[in-house]
Amino acid sequence: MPPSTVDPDGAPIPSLADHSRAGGVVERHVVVVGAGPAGLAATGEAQAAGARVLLLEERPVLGGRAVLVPGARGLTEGLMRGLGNAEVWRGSPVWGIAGRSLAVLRGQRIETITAAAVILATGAPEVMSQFPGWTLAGVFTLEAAWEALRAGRITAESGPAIVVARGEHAAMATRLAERGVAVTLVAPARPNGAPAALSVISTAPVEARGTGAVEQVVLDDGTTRPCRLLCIESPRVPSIDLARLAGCPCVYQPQLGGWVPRYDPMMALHGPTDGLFIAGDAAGVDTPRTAAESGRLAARAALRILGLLADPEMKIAEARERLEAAAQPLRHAARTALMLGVMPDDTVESWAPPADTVMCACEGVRLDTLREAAVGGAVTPDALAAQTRCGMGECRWRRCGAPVLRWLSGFLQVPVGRLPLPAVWPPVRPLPAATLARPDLASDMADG
Amino acid sequence: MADRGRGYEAAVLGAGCAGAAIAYSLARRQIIPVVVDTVGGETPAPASPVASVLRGNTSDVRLATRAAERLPDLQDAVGPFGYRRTGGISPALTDADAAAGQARAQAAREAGLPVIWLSRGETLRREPGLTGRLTGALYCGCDGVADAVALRRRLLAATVRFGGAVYSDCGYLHVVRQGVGFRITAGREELTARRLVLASGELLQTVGRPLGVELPLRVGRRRICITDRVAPVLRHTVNGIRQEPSGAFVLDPPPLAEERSATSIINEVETLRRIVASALRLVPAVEASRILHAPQLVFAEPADGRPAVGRLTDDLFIAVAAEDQAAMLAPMIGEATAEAVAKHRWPDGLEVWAPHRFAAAASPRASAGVQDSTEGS
Repeated sequence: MPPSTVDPDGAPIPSLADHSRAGGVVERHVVVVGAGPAGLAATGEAQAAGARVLLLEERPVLGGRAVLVPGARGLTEGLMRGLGNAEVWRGSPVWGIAGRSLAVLRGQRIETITAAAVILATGAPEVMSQFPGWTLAGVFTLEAAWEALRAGRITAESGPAIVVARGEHAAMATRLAERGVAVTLVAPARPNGAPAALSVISTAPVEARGTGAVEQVVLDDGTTRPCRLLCIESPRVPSIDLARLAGCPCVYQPQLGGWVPRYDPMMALHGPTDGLFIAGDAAGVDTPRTAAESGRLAARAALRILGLLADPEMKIAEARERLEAAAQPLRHAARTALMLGVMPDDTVESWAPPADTVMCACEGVRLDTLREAAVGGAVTPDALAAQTRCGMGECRWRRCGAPVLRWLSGFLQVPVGRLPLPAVWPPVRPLPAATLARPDLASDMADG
Repeated sequence: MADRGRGYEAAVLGAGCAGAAIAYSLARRQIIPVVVDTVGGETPAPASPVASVLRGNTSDVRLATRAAERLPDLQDAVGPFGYRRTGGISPALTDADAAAGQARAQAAREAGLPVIWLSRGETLRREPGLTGRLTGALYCGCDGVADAVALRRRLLAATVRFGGAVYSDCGYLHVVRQGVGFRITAGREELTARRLVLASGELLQTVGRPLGVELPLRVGRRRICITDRVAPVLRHTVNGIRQEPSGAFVLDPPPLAEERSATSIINEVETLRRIVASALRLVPAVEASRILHAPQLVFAEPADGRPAVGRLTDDLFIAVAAEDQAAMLAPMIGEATAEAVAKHRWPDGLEVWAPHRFAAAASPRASAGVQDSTEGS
C-alpha cells in the first residue's frame, strides 16, 4: 500500500482556484525547478496529463549536466521532445521558497510563483575536494571542463593538460587529445580504445602551482609536470539549498552523495509543507536515467494529489518499477532505506588537506584559519562563518560546505551526519539590488 | 574546561555581549564567574551590528561616548574584535527633517554631547557616497562598529584565562534560590553561585520568572542584507548602512515595528525590498551590488527600548540591552555591573539604566515562594 503524500492530520492540498490571490502572483498546477533529466521528465509527464506546468532553469540551456557530460544526450533529447509546449523559463534562478511559493529572478524582474505542487529537481553539481592550488585558473571539475570544451574555450593551445578521471569519464582525455591538446590521463588503467597519443599514469596530482593560473602540477611521488589545464573528476553533491529553505529535514547518506532531504516513497519531501516533491540527483546521486525515472514518479505523485492522473495506482506502481529497474542497486537500496527513515550515517571522516590550503575560495579562507577558529570553540559551520567569513561569499557554501564538514568531522571525531549544516536564508542565489529597487521608488522618494 | 568544585562566586546567565563583558570585568576583580548559556550564540552575520549612537536618546549617547573612549583599551586587553570608529551620519531628506535635526543637534550641544549638524555641502564633502537629495545631516564622531561575535568570543576567552568557566550551548537551563545563593542546572552540569547576573536576553523571561523577575521584553526578528564587494564609496555609518573595509555593504535598518511572517514569499520579497529601498534612498551605490546573504537575527531588548542594567537585590543583578547597544556599551555594562557585584556600589551617572523598573517582583520573599513550588514539583 503506497503511503499517502498528504499528512492525515493536515489540510488537504487545495485546488488551483484556492490559490488565487491578487498581487502579480503567477499560479501553476505544477512548478518544476531544474531542467536536468529529472526536471524534464517531470515537466513532460505533467504536461502530458494536462496540468498547467512551469519549468524553471537557472542556466540558459536545458538538460543540466546531462547535456555537458557525454552518455545521456540521447535520453535528454528525447525528454526535451517530450516537453511539448510546456512553459519554460530559462536563465531564471529560484532564490527563495516559502510554502509552495517560489521567488524567481527572471531577467531584471522578480517573479513570485505559487503552485499546488512543487518538484525540486535541483541536481548535484561536482564539488572539488580542496587541495593546494585548486583555486587557480585552469583547474576544472569534469563538468566545468566539458562545458568549456563545448563552448569552444579549450583549444590546442590550452595544453598541456592532465585529466584525473575514471571509467567512462576518461573520455574527457580522449576528446582533449582529439582537439590536439597534449594530455596525460591519471587513471588506474588505460581505457579501452584510448588513442596512442594519450599518455596514462597512475600517480595522482596533489598540488597545482602557478601565479593566477596553473602552470605546473606536483604529483604524489614528488615529481612535477608542466600543466595549464587540470581537470579533476570530483564527487557530486546534491543541491539541497531550496529543500532546506523550505524547512525539510536532511540526512547524511554518503552513498547518495552527502546530505539529502528526507522524502517518502512517493518522492514527497518531509517537512512543514505538503505538495513539495524532490527528484533526480538532488534526491541522491545516480545515473541520468534514474534521475529521469524519479522525475516521472514525482510528477505522477504530484498529479495524483491534484486529481489529474487517470488510474493513479497503476501509473505510480509502473513509475516505481521503472525507477527500480534504472537505478544502480546499491544506490537504490540506500534510497529505499532513506525513504523508510534510515538513521544518519555514522562515518567519521579523516580527510584534511595541507594546512595552508584555501578552503573557501570566495573569501580566501585557509584551513589553518579554520583550525584556529575551531580550536577556539567555533565548531559549527555557522560559528566558523561568523569568525572567519568561510562560506560567506558568492557561492554560499556550495564549494566549501561539504569539504568543511568532512574536515570538521575528522577534527572533532564526530560523524559528519551529526554535525549541523550551515544556516540557509533567502536569497540562495545572488540577488542584484537593482531588481529589488521598486519601479515606484522615485515617487516614494518624492513623498518621503 | 575548568571545574572549580562547581561552586562559583558569581554566575552570569547569558553569554552575549553583555554577559561576556560582565564576566570579564568580574574575573578581573578576582570574582571568578561561571558563564552559562543555552545556545552557542553565533549568528551567521559576517561582522556585526552597528553601534549607532545617533539612534539612541541623549543619555545613551552620553554613555556610548564614554564607552567609545574605552573600547580601544578593551581591544588592546582582550584582543581585536573589529572595533573601529567610523563616525555616524544621519541624513535628512526634507526640510522638516532638517529642522528637527537642527533642534536635536542644538539640544545635544547644550547637553555637552559630540553631535553636530552638518549642512548639505559639508555632509557631501565628508561623505560623497550619499545621495545629493539630502538637506543636511546629524553627525556624531564617536559612532563606530564592532564585531559583536568577536567581542563576545574575546571577552569569554579572557574570562577563562582569569580562571572563569564557560558553559555555552548547554541546551537546558534552570535556576532556583538555594540557601544564600543559587542552584543552576545547565544541561548536565549542577552549579552553585552566591550571586547571579541575569544577562540572558530572550531567555530572561523563562529563567527570571522562578526568581521573581518579570522583565517586559520585546523579542523580535530583523533581517540584514550583506552584499558582494563593490568599489568603496561609504566612509561613515549612515543610518545602519555601512561598507566593510572589504567593500561589502551591510544594510542593517532599524527593525520593523510589526514582524512579518517569513512563511509567505511575498513577505520575503517585501522585506528585502524595504531594506534595499531604504538604503538606496541614501546611498545610490548600493544599486550596483548584489545581495549574497540576508540572515535573520533574533533580538531581545527591554520593551521600552532602554537598556536595563544594575542591581535588583543584594545578590541578583540584571543586564539586558539590544544587541547593538550591548556591543557598543560593553565596557560600561561590564564595569558597572562588576562594580555593583563587588562593592555593592553603583558608579555615578549610570542611574539612567534604571534596573529598579523591574525590581518590584524580585524581592526575596516572592522568589522564596516560587522556590518552594519548584522544589515541591
